[in-house]
Amino acid sequence: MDVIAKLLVYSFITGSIYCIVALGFSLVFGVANILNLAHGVFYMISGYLVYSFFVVTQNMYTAIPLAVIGTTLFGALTYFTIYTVIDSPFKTLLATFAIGGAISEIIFIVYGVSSYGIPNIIDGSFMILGVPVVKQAFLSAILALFVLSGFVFFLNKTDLGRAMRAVAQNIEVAKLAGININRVKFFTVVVAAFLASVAGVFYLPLQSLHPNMWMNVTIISFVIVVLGGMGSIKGIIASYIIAFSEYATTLSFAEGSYVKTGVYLLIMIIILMLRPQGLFGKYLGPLEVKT
Amino acid sequence: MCKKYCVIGVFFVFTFALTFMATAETRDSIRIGVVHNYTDLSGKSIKEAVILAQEQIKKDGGIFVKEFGKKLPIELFFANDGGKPQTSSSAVEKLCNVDKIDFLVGGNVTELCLAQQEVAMDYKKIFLSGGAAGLQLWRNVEKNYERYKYYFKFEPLDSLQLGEGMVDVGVATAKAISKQLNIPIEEVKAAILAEHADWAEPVVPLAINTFKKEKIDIVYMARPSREATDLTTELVEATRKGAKMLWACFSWEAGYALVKQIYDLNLPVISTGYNSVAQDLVGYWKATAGKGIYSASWTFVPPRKPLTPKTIPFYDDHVKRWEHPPLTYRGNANYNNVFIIKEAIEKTGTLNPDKLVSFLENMTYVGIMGVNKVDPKTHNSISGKGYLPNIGIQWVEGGKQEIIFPDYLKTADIKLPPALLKLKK
Repeated sequence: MDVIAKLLVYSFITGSIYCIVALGFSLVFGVANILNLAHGVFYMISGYLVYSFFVVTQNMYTAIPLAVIGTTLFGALTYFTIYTVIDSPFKTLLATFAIGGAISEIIFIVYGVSSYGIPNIIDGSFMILGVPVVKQAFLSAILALFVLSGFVFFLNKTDLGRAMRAVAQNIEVAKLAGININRVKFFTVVVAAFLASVAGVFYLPLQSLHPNMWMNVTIISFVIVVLGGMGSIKGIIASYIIAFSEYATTLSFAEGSYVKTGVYLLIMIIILMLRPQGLFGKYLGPLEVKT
Repeated sequence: MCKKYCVIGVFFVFTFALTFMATAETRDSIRIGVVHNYTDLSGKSIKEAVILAQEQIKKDGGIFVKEFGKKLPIELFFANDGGKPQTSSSAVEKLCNVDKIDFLVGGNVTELCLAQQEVAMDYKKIFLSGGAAGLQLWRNVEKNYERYKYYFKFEPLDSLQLGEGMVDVGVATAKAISKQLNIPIEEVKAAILAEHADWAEPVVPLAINTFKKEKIDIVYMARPSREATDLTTELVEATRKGAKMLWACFSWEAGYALVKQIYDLNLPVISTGYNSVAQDLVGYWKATAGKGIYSASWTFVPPRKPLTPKTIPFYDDHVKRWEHPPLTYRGNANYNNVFIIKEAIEKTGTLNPDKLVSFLENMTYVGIMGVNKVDPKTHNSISGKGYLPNIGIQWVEGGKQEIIFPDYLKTADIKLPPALLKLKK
């Protein structure tokens, strides 16, 4: 019972954080058709920005909004960097990977190789179902779900949100309907950066900042999106599956915490073998081979 | 006709002179390759320490090499192995082939260092590694002396030797818990959290056996990745099973998650053993935002204590040159390595690797942490009394590090975190 409670509570918290990080990745792929390998950089940069603004202002309540704004602007900048190659998925893939590597190197130069810590907004812990939970982690999860709900509302109730969905469903029809495709793609990348930054500024105080951390975030986002279904918003529910598998593996045996990444990658492979389109993705039919 | 022979004669003389000049060995410097991952803190630490050594040797006019009849400066060549297997050996290939190094120092992470050892041995380069602790490195020398005789590890200690130090720090912590909580040692209960890495493999069974001998019950064990960022489940599970001491074995970033999460969850447990990041006199407190308090760890980074006549001068020179104390033990280990090379060259008067090998095998060098000497059969460092010491530290209020082990160096007693002190009987 105790183990089940632990699994549920921790999977909920970590899964919720994964949700908003992966949502941005999924959105950018679904709407803008960009496999953004620099996605983890948004998460990482928000952490470095909040750290820097905190050092200057000594106030987390000032540092957090500034970091979110900074990361969102960085998202916009990323879009303009890859804009010229945006119509070629392969070139975009390479460009985003290069951006990720370059930013990581710049952070090495600016901040050095040392790790940095960000203070929590709220300290201490409390119990949920008899399981100790760090207040900051719980706050991050709740905020993540709040932002997620807001985003769903934005997608369904605003013109820009509806335009995003239209572009994701059929770009040609969206063009005919007069939607400015480039504008929609731009906003999608910006929204993805915003979502990742919200996760970063609230969750990163529980970890430490390091210039290499972006890659793991990108990998997890990628796995979630592949597992859930490429471009499927519903598919980000796979975040909870990944988080659950991580904790279940960790609790199962001593080496569990080491092999947990392998376990969720294995789950991804099995799901792809049984359902190539992912859990919530649409089946697009067999590949056509042009001769 | 005569003119024609004269031209041919001059041509041959000129060619001969050129060939002679090219083949005659000219020396302007002693070339030392430094291989490491320069994208982490230990890389920065090594770079700073070997540059400091280079500058100090330069101030003395260089290293006197009898066979060249002059003093030569040191030239350093840095090669980044990127911390990845695929680039570890090519970094050394580049140093040997392109930079034409005479000696190799550095080398971190046993798995990578093994690959680097192979390349260095292919080129018969003397390789003084100053980072990796895996046993296989010196076992290679023992098994195939002729091939691996150019490899030496004066410092740090190997997994088993440093494992003894880490376990000793753990036992000292368990005794402090028993004393301060007024409970028998059997009730202390330990959890082992050791990263999954080659160097840690022999250390874990050593800890299990020693704790059993000391009647310290092990209630939980986990083997996370060295890059783990979330250890909540492991920590909560360990304390749920009654562990009051968390014996860690971490050489990487996971150490930050460990101490931060113990603090955030306010768990009644103290971390001890080895947490590499806790050795960092400069960045640890900043990186944990002060949450690393009460964390204890074995260390090999020199404190500002007169362990040898060289400890305090090294510490002070480092602060003067880089505006901060040495960052990791790889720094002092490789600083020593450069001076060991200097002494070996000056005593033998040559750069010939075969002549240097026999000298290095019998050399005794007073280093930063203690006396450096290797076993002539394995080329592995010798530990124990009179050689290299094991030191335990603890982080306390105000971001200060206190020495808690061994007794003869101790500056403070182990302090238990408030959540653990509440369990006092």
